[in-house]
Amino acid sequence: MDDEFNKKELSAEDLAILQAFDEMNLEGWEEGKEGEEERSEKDIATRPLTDQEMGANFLTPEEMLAIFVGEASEDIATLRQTLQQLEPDDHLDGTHLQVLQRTAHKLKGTTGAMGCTAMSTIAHHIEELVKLITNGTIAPFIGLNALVQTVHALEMTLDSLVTSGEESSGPLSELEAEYKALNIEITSGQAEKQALATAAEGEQETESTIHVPLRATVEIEPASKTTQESLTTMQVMRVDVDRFEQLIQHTEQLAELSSPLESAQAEVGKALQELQTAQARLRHLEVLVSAQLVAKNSSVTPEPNGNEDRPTSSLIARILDESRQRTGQHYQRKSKAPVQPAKTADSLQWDDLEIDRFTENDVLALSLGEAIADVATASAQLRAAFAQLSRITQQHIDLAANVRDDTLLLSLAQISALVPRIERAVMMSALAQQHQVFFETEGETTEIDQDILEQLKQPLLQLVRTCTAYGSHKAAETGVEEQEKAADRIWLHVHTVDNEVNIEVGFSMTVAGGALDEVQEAIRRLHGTIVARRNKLGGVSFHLRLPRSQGAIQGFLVAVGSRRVVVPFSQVRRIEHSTEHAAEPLYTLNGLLGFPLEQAPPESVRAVIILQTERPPLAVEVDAILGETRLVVKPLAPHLQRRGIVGTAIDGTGNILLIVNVPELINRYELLETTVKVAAIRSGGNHSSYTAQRQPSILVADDSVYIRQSLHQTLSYAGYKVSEADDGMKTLERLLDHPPDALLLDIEMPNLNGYDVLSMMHAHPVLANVKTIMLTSRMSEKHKARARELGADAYLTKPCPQDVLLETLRLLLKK
Amino acid sequence: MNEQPTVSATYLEEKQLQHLEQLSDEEFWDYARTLAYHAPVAAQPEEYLECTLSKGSCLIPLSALNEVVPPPHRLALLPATPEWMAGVVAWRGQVIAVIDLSMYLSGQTLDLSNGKLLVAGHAGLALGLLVPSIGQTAPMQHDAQVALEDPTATVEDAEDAEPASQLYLPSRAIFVKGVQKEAFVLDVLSLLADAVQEIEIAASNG
Repeated sequence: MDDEFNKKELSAEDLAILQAFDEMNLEGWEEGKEGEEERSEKDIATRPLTDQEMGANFLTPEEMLAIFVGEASEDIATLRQTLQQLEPDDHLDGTHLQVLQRTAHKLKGTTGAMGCTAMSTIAHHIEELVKLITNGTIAPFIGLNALVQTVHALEMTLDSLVTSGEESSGPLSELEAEYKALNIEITSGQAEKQALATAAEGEQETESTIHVPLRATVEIEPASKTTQESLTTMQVMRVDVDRFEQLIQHTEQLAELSSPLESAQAEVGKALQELQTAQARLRHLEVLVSAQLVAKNSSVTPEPNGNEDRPTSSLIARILDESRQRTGQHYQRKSKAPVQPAKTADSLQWDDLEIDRFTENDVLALSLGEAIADVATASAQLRAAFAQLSRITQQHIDLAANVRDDTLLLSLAQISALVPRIERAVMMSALAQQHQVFFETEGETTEIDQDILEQLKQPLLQLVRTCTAYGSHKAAETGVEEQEKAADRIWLHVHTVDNEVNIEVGFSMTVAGGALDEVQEAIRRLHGTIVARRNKLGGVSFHLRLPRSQGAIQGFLVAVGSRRVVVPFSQVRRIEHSTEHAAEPLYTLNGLLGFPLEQAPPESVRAVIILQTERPPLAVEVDAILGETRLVVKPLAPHLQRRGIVGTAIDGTGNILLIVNVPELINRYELLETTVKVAAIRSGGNHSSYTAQRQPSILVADDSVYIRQSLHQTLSYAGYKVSEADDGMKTLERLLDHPPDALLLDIEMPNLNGYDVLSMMHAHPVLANVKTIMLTSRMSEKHKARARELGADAYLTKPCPQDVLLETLRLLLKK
Repeated sequence: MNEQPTVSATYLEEKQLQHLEQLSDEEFWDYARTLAYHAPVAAQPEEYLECTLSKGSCLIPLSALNEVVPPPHRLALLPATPEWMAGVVAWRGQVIAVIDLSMYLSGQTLDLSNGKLLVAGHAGLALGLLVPSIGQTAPMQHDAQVALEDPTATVEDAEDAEPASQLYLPSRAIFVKGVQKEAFVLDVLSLLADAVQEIEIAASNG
């Protein structure tokens, strides 16, 4: 539910409090930003309030303080609880340390925004201590001791704030003295460098371990047996990977030959048809020639020996004979000579001994007839041979397809191979230490390419580890008894759709953010997608869609003007005719691809593809669906790779077919359209026609209730319509329900973090125009660069002066 | 046999012949091998293929070409590409970019339906150069070739040759490394590197 201000309920007293709060808030932000220029209190604080602002439902400073203290106490309790779970061992558990770091980071942001510099510094110390422990700079035992004292200092400082209204700097001073005694040096720069170095080492380590198992040998398992029982009894043969890859390559080449073979066969068939036509024409010619000769001979004066009515060649004789048989009448020459009795058939036969009786034309006609007979014989033989060739070609094509399928089957392995690792990751997680967790699997016997499976292992484990690392989050929201009653559920559901595998990794509880951003790139490299959705249990499910095998793709062959492209089945929900379609927004594939317009056939009924997308459903018009096809994907060289083009395939005639990712094309198109509109406005100066005169809406996404309230007040006061979300999943849902003009986005949030949300926004063209401002306490260049890379329009760090925030918003929305 | 008289490969004097006669078989063949090893190899001038473009002709080194493919060319369009990129084509099982060379160099194109596709290689990457027609191959005459220190400047030393900057776009004139018989000698490798880069940039712009 959006928390919007009721702007008509603000009393004069409220206004006075509001102004007081505003002043207090400014002071806090000023303190938190060292070296910052003194902020001007322009328009917002001095201008008179509008009726709209008068109605805002603002909280009093006391209420805000109470919210802050409550939230800080919860965070400190989480820190304390997590510390209790850490045992002074040689190696402190990474997941617990991660919880400490995240909680401290959140607390740092909240206290910084409140202007509590001492608490913010102490919270920062916790983050740095965790980094130093993780990278081995300080021993775990000493580190744990320091952490306990730091949390204690945090509690003491909060107590001082509650009791005296001001935070004491005493606990911080004592703490830093204690660090010196423990020989711990905390400087943010050093710690950052060390953390970066550790991260780099970690990455190298990860890279070196990913590809190991498959390089030496691969275990090939008969794919026909799919049950777990059969798995235990099946025989396994070790095969050299290079040879296996060579086999795959040759098999693909064999399969690729099928299309050219079919094309060549069609060409031969066509040539045969032409031959038959030519043969028929020759026969016709023969008749004509013979008729001419007959006519010519008939006009010759009869010879004295009385043979004037004798046909001049066997060809003519045959024609006459056929005529006689057909009509039952004997041939009578059309001459003025007296009618002679008809010759018998025998007397019309060619006789070599009587060759002197035949003219040269007769001989030519005879030769023509014999040549035609030869052609007819050859043609008949060719037809028989072609029929035989067609049968064999078809057998070859079928066999090549079988060989390819069999070879691909050899490279498949069951997803169940990953299950023990995932289950172990779940059971070792911080979540499992605090709650009862049930791990369920379904469809794990589904098979997938071993190479894909191998590359999928790390992202899946990373996903599970990240999501379950923040085990104490639920503890903060619910009571201990409730936790015990309701066990958490994590599931891995797998099913196949055509040549794709859908994997759902579901969590019934709130999970730590950042998982999606961490694994997205790996999934994309596998030509797959990952999206987050709320599941039936109210938690978050990550849906991965991956090709089942590398290389081949199945889809619709689609006509776009005179060109043909392939739309994979996985993107298509259904197909309609353009006359039936009315519901979804309609794009044209030609327009999405940016191809030049071609003249469409008049009054043609076109096909509309309804895509398998999240809300809103999207529809794309194409000229025609030509059929279904299965092709071998050829990846594009890096300089040819384009957003929305998955790869290419080469058909039997050597044509290149683009394999498209239509949702990505739509997204790209929307971004371009926005740019064009903005450019048009700038050049035309007609601002008012594009920017509607309405109250701009802002969505504030932050897991800190204090920050949300604070921003809500500031923004409402400045005339914006404000809504809120306290985690990444809700942020995404609100964005899709009511796309705002701007989004203020924190990075560290549960379920999906800020980076996850930014990534997911790319998948929704409807969000292409939302201006995103990152508002976070992460200050490093690394985070800023990541946010820019993911499409953030601005990056502000907490605590952020109001005027900076409002000016940034104003400039972005003006654009 | 420390000192051997120097012999010409074509003419031997009596003294030299006598020396050869005194050599053992082994020594003779060693000597023969030494001569053969040091025999001067006549420098082969690099062969160039003449191509007719919308504006003038150009010369492309044969060493940069993998194949000349006759029409028809089954070109497929790719989204977000520079206007001089005619499309992509399948060549030996791989998908390669095809550049309309006239359009690329001068911004003007000709009918390419009967054009020739020159498949050139660059850094292990194949690219197609589509040209309206091709002429003969000819060796590069080093004395006739004019090196252009400033490619955009007028080629005064080349008889009857128009300056590259007048025929080609200013940004493309830099790929002319000389002129021979009114035809521009192209630095194909630099041209291909630039084309690849621009095709890549177009993806992010488009």
